[in-house]
Amino acid sequence: MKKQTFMQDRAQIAADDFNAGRINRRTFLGICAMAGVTPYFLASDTARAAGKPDQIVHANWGGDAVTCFKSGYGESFTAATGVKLEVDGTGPLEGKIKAMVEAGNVTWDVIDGDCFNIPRLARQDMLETIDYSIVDKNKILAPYTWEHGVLGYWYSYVITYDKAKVGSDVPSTWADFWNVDKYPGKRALYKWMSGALEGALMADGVPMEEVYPLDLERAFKKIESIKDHLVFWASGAESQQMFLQGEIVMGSLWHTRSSVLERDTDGRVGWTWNQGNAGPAGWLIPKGNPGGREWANRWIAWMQDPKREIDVMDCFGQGPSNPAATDLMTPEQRRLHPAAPENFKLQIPINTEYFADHYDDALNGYLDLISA
Amino acid sequence: MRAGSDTIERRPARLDPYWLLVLPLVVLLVGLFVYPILQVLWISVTDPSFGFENYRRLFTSGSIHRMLWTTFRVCAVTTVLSMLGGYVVAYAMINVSKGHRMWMLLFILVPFWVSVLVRAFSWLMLLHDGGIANTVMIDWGLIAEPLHMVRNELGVIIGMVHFMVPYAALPLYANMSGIDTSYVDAARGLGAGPFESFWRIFLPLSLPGVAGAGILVFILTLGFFVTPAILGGGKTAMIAEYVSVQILNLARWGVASMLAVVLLVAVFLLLAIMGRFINLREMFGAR
Repeated sequence: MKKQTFMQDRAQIAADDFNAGRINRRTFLGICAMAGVTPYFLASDTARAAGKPDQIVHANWGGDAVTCFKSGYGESFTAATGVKLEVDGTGPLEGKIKAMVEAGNVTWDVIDGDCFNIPRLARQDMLETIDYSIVDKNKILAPYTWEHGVLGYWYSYVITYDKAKVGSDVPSTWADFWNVDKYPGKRALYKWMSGALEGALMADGVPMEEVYPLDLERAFKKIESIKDHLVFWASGAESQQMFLQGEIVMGSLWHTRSSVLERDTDGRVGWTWNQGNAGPAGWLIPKGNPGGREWANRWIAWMQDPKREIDVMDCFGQGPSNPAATDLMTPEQRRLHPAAPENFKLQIPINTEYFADHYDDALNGYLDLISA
Repeated sequence: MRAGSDTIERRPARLDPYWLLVLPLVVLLVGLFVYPILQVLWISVTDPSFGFENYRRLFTSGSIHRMLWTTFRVCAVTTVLSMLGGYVVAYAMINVSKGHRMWMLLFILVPFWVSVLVRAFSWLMLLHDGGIANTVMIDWGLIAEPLHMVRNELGVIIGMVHFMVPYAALPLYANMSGIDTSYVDAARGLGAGPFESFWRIFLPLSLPGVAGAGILVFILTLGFFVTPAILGGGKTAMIAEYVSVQILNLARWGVASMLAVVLLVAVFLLLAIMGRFINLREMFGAR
C-alpha cells in the first residue's frame, strides 16, 4: 500500500485540478505550500508532480547489485527527484512477472532481465512500452532498443581456468574447453544453459558468426560427448566456490565472477574474452507497474548516464550500456568491460531474436540432456 | 470404527455445535488450500488453450518420461535405504535401556531439526571432488582418483536418505513398541535361535508398520526440491524441480500444473494403498 497523508492527497487533487485547467498556477502552488508538499519539477512540468510515486522498485538478482544500485544510481536519483529507490533482489524470473501481471498485483517498476525476455513477455502483453521521449536511444548501443524494453548493461559468459591445473599453455577456445585429454578434470557450465550451447557449437568447429541460429541437435550432441566431465553451476557464488575449492579446472563463468576470482586468487584463476558469449541484460517495465509508466522510464533514463554506469561497474562489474562510457574509462576499466570494442569483437552477443522464439525448446532440451 | 457405549448415547444431531469451533479453520483451509488446488487443476486444462494437451504430453514427451522415471528411481532407492537404516535404529531403540533410548532419540531428532539447505550444502562441502572425504581417502592411498559422490544421482540419494531416516525410524519405533515381545520370548523358549525368532516372529509382526512407514517415506521423497537441486548439480532432475523450471523459467504453467496434479493424484493413490495396510488415523495420531 502506498502511504499517503491527507495533505498529500489534497495536493494531488489540486494538481489534477490544475492539470485539467480548473485552477490556476498560483492557486495550485498555494495549496501545495499549505499542504507542505514541494512540487518537484515545478519549473518545467508542474502537472507531472501529480503522477509522481513515492518510490521506484527495481527488481534484480540480488547480491552486490542491490547495494551497488542504491549507491550508484539510487542516491542521486532520490536527491534529484525526491523519489526513493527500493531494490528487490529476489530474482524477477519470467514466471514471477507473469504471476504478478495476471494477478493485477505488480510490485516492480523496472525489471532486470535478459533482452530475450523482452519479446517473449511483450508477446503475452506483460510489458509497458518504452517512452523514447524520456529514454534516449542514442545512449544505448545499437540495435539494442525495442518497443518494450532496452539494453540495461552487459555481462558475458567467458572461458575461465585454474592455472594451477591447466599449466602454462592455458585454454583460450571452446575447442580447448572440450579437449578433455589435454586438460583432464571437471569443467563447469551454466545450469540454465546460457553460454553453453554457443560454446559447444564453436568447439565443434562452427565459426563465431554462424553460431546463430543454433543447431540444437549438434550442440546437444557435442555436450553429450563430454558429459561425464561436466558439472553445472546454478549461481555466481557457486561457480566461484568451485574454483576456490579446486573442484574444477575450467568453466564458462560470468565475467564478473571471473575477474573477482582473478583478483582474489592473485592470478591463479585466469580468463579470456575470446569466444565469450556476451549477454545483453535489459530493462523491462511490467504492465501496471505501481510507479507508473512515466517514472519507470525516467528511472531507466537515469541509469543511462555513462558516469553513473561506470560507478556501478566499479561496484559490481556490469558493463555499461551507453557506448559513451567506454571513452571515460581507465585502461583497467576497459579491460573488464564486455562491450569495449576491443573486447566485444572477440565475443558473440547472445541473440535476442533467436531466443525470443526458441528459448523454451532449447532450455528444455538442455536440461533434459544434462539430467538424463 | 469401534462399536461401543459412546455411539449409543449419540443423538442424531443435524450439526454438531463443535463444528463451529473448527469452522474458521475449515474456511481457511478451503480458501487457502482447496481453492488454489482447484485453480491448479483449472490451469492444467486451460493453459495455453482449453483441452487435455498438457496431459497428452504425459504420454508423448520423452523428457517428462525420463524425469518421472528418475523421480521414481531416486525415491524408491531412497525409501529402501531409509527403511533399512530406520529399521535398524528402531529395532535397537526398543531393545536398549531407557537411558540409552533417550540418547538415541536425541541423535535422531537433532539432525531432524537442521535446515534442509544447510544439510545439502554440508554434504556438498564434505563430498565434492576436492572435499575432505576425497582428500583424506587419497592421502591414505585408499583411492587414486577422487570419487564423484555429489553433483550426481548418488549425491541426491545420500542427501535424501540422510533426511529420511528419522521419518522411517520414528513410525517404525512407534509400531515396534506395540509388538508384544512375549511372542519372541515364547519362540526362544520353544528352541528358536535369536536370528530365527527375529526372522520368523518379530519381522512378520512388524511388517504392517514397515509398509506404512515405507509409503510415508516414499510420499515425502516425491516432493523433494532443495536436496536434488543442490546435490544433483543439474544432473538429476526430479519432478519438483521440473515443475519449478516450467513455472519460473519458462512460464509454461499448463505443463507445470499438469505435473502437479499428477503428483497429487499419485500421493492420494499411495495414501489409499497405505490405508489398506495400516490404520491411517492411528498413524497420524488421531485415534
